[in-house]
Amino acid sequence: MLHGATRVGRAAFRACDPDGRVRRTVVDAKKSQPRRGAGVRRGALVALYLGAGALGYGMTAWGPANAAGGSGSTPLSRVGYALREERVSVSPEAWTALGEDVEVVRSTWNPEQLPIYDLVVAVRGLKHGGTPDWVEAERLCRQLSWPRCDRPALEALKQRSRP
Amino acid sequence: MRSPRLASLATWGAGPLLVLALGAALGRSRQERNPFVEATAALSEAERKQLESAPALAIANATWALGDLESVKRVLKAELDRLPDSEGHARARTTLRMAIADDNPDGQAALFALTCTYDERMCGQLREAAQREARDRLVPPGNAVPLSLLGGHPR
Repeated sequence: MLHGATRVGRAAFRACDPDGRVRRTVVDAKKSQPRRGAGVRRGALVALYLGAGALGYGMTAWGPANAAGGSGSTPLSRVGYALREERVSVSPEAWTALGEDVEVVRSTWNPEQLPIYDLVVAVRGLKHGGTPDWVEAERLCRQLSWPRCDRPALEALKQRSRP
Repeated sequence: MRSPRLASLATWGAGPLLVLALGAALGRSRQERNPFVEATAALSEAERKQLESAPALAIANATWALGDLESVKRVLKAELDRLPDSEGHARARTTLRMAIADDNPDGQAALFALTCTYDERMCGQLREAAQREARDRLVPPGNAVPLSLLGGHPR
C-alpha cells in the first residue's frame, strides 16, 4: 500500500511506502505526451533552421551555376581562367573553391576526354594550390599509354597545354 | 487566437526564410572574396566564352604535346566539332595539326586546303605555322614539318 506521492517532474510522481522508500515512479501519461511532442517539434524546428541556412549558403557559395550577383562567372570560366594564367597567387580558400569548380566541370565533361582533363588538372596543380602533382600526372599519363610520361615531358606538357 | 498563429507563422515560415537569406548572403560574400570569381565576374559575354573554351583548348594542347596518334585524332576531331565557324583561326590551327599528324599525302593536302578556307592569313604562312605546331609536339608523328610543305625536290 502506498502512503505518499511526491511530484518529481512536470508529469511524474514518485510513490512511497510507509517507511518512505520509493516504490515506483508513476508517469502521468496524459501530461508526458505533449512534452514529447514539444521535443519533437523543437528538433524539427532546429533542423529546419539549420537546413535553411545550409541551403542558402550552399546555393550561392557552392552552387554549380554561380549566383554571385547574377554575374558572368561560371565554374567553367573560373577553371579556364586558372588554366590560362601562368601563375595565380590566391588564398588556400580560393584554391579549395577552385577545386570544387574543377569537380563541377569534370562532371559535365566528355567522358572520353576525362583522363586527359585529369592530367591537365594534375600538371597545373588546380587541386593542389597551383603546385603540380607530378606523381598523379605520371600515373594518368601511363594510364593513357602515351609515348612519353617522364618528368621533363610532363613539365613541357604543363607549359604547352596552357591555352 | 491571432497571436499564437502569428507566432507560429513567424517561427515556421518567416524565420527559416530569413535564415535562408542570411545563408545566401554569407555564401555570396564568400564567392565575392574569391579572386577567381572577381577575375571572371565582370567579363563581357565574348570574354567569358573565350575563358570557357580554355579547358577544351588546354586538353587539345596537352594531347598535341604528348598524346599518341589515336588520342590526337580523337581530340582534334572533338575540337573541330566544338569550335564555331566564327573561330576561324582556331579551326585552322586544328586542321593544320590534323594535317601534320596525317601520314597520307592526299589526306594532308585536303586538310591543308581546309586550313586555308578557315584562315586566309595562316594559309599564306602555312610552312611557318606548321613549324610552330611541330615544335609544340614532343613525340612522333607530327613533330616534324611534312615534306610537302618544305618545298623543292631532291635533285
